[in-house]
Amino acid sequence: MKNSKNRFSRKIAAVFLAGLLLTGTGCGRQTVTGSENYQENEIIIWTWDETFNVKAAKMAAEIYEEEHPEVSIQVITKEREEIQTDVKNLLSAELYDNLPDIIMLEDYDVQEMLAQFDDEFVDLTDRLNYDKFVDYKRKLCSRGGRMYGIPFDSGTAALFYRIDLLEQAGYTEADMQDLTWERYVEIGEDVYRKTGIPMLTLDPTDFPLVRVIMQSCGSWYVREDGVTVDIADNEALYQAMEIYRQLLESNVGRSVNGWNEFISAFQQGEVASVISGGWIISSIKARPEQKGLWRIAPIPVVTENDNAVAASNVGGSGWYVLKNSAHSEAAAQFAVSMFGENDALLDQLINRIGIVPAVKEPSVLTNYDTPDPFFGGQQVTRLLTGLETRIPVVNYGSKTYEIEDILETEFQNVLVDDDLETCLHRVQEKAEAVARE
Amino acid sequence: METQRVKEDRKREWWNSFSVKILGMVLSGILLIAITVSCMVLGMSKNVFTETYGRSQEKVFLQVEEEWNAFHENLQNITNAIDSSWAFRLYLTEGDRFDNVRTFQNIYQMEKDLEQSKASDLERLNILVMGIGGKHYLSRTETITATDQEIWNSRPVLLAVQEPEVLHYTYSHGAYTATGRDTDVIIVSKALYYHESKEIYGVVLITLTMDELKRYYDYFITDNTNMYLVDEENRIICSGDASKIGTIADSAWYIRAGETDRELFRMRENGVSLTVMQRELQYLGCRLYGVIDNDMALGRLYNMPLLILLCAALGAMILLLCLIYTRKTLRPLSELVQRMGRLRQGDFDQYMPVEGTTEVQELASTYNYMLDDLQSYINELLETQKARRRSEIKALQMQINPHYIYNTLASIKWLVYQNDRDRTVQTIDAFISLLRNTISNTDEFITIDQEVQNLENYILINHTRYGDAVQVEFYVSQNCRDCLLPKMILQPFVENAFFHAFPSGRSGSIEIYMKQREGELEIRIVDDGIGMEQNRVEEAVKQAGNREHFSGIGIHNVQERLELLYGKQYGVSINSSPKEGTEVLIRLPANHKEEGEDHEE
Repeated sequence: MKNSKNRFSRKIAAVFLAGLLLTGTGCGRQTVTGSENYQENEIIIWTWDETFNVKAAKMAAEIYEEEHPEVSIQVITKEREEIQTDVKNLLSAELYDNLPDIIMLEDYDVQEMLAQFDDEFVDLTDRLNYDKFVDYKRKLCSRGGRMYGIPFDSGTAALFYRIDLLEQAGYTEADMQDLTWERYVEIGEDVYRKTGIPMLTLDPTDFPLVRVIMQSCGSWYVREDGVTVDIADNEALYQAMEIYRQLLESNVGRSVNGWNEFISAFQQGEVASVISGGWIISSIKARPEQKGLWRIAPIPVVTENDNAVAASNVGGSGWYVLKNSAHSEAAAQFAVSMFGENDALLDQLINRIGIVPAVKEPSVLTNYDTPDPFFGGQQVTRLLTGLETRIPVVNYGSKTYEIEDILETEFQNVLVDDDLETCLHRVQEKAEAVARE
Repeated sequence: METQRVKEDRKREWWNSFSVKILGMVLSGILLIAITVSCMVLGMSKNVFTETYGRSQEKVFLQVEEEWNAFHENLQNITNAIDSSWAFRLYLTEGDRFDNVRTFQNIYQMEKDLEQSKASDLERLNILVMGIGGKHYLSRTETITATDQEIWNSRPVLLAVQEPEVLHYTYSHGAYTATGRDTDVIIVSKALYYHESKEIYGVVLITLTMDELKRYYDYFITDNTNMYLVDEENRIICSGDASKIGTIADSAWYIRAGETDRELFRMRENGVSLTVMQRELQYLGCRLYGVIDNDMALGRLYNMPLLILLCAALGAMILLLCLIYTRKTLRPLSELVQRMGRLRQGDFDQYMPVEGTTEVQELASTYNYMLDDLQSYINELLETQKARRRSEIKALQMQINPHYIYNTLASIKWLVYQNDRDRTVQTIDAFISLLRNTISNTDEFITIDQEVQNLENYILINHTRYGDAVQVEFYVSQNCRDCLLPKMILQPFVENAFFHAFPSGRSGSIEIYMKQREGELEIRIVDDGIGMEQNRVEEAVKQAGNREHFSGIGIHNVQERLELLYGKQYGVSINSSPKEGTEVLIRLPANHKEEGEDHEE
């Protein structure tokens, strides 16, 4: 009897044990949250500007997809700042699942991104011959001697103007060559008087013109080292701000808000000229009815500055491949073979979007000397790449937009109390606080 | 046929065996318990899980609701800031009246006003403000792709104009600007108007892409949980399931949710158990739904194959233990069964070792006692029988066939008639000696010497009666002369040889060899008579019983007698071949007569 009882209790214990184990395993399992993933082998590209970068990326994608049917490429249009903030957020949260594979970064932002996320970008040093790119662009995408990213458009600044409007005020193409800023303002005042049309737009929340003038004098918000703030004693900046104020007060520069108005102003003939990077050509050409009405000239020079040249750079950009994205390797291959080595594509891009290639020997490209009827038969690419080599090299550092924000705020005071020197001193103080690492 | 029946029998036996029955019962018990307990636990935990999971998801769901409301509040702040910003109002209504510098300052002020109202996580919102006079403000670095006409005629704007006091949330595929051109978006619209006259001077359009909205509900979404934001026209304007965005909600749970005012209910749709939560987002003019697929959630919870595997493994383990244990318990029993089988065949030495469980020990010792009793009874019985037989034989041994006496006396009378006095005396002496040794000597055993003397007397009488054609020779080795042997065991063989080996007066000889070897006494009686076929020996022995004998002992019961006295290993063997003669071999243990013991009277 004792034995059988024993056996029975053992059996019960075993069954309970089994039950326990079962519920135990039940509790241990975790539900897995499915994150939304992009399709297999789909390379995601984030870029901005539908008429320029987006178009270029889509063209490259089309060619590449044809050669590599297993790869599909999705180009997503985003705002420039949005790309930067989103990528920053994703990277700092390490949400790699939602990362794009390739992003476009504006040259001013590159160093900041590379510094902040030093192990998040694919090192392309050994995969690409960087010697073909112009020096200042090559320098922009390097950090610690390694190369990240592929230089895209050069952002060579030029003066784009409406010959028809200027002719209304009695000026010819010849008048627009070898300009100084004094002369430009003079012509502008005259044009405004005669036609009621200002020369260019000024956005109180964005100072690309200041940057253009500064760099044409070989100067920047920071010194050569990229860290030391150089504002209070920056002759070029002072001159740039002075020119800016003059343009504003003399109605030569029309106040607009935001990018949309900046674009629509010249597209709708509300201003007679644009001083911007070569990439603006695609937006200018977005109005086919203005064909032949546009001309290109080098930017005006600052007469009081000895370093000043008639060449500068504004807002060029490059492609960067993210190391921890879903299809990083495929994306790197795509980027290198399309934007890094494909001269045929570059050639086509000159034709289609008017890109100013950031390469040392643009003359090998077929479309290099093609006259552009939109600009009255000017050899646009030749002209711009000609300017390119003269652009003074400056170190943008990593705080360009932060410092510019301060400058914008303080400049509002200049408009009230009229003291530019004090203003720049205040900016210097604040910028030093911002730039301190 | 035969083997099949044996097989069937064996099969039945196997099914009937104790261990198989126990194992069967244990197995069915385990299965029964495992199934019932599993079902019960599963059922119970399913309910509990659905309940608690639903509840925890409800908390998350409430958080989603809060997030949406907070988000709405943020958007409200932005539109309020724009509404109350003089800079915006100036810009939208009378911007052209200012000089360039004032405009420059005004634009900067707008930016600042808006900046301050933005929550930190909404920095990059796509805010488009349009004045009735055609002025635009776009918060982002991109361009407006829609024409003014298109914008003014779009649904969000029309709604805002219709009801300028509140924010309107409208689903749209494609927005007004480049970045939102080809995607699903929600456009939040709010009209700007003078509060007194209600005259509208502008409209704020905030474009939210689905990606941007994700963070307000993404943590709620799993494979088995989904969220739907449905506007007043039953259109799903936002959901974790991208394929549903923009479609009209018409599934069963949605209809059911419309009928009930419970904020959480469970139902089945297409055989799937759903938990549905609903909340009204009053500010958004939308309803928020959370739908949980309970079955899928449960599927995640239970790993059925593992469960079954575990049950099977545990069951097998228990069965194995049972098997080992019952085997151990039952082994003495099956041994007992085997021993009892052997017992039936007459082997009474099958004692059981006393071991195992109490019951089995009891059984074994009882069996052993029984075996003891049985054995003593049988021994007693055998003893009695042996004694009886011995006395019978003893009686036979002491008899002398009366015919033999008549015939012998008749022969002697014949000698007297012939006046052969010497032979008469010789024969009478032999006869007397024979009679005395047979009848008067009550000893069962006599020495070889005595037996030889008896045989010599017997032969002498035979020679007197039948003539001396058959000569008898004795070869007795010295070491066995004092060996004891049962009285009268050799005489029947000599008698047999005399009468059968030499029929119709044939002459010949009989030789008798006696010797002791390795503790055995070996006696050979060899004749050179006619012999017979070996296979007829048995028959001849039997027939020998019918004839006239000297005493009650014949060759047929010599064997029996020896067996009774000495056991089966001793006895008589007869070899014969026709025309060559017969050899009788008698083997006995060599018991020497003890000193001083006298078998003679």
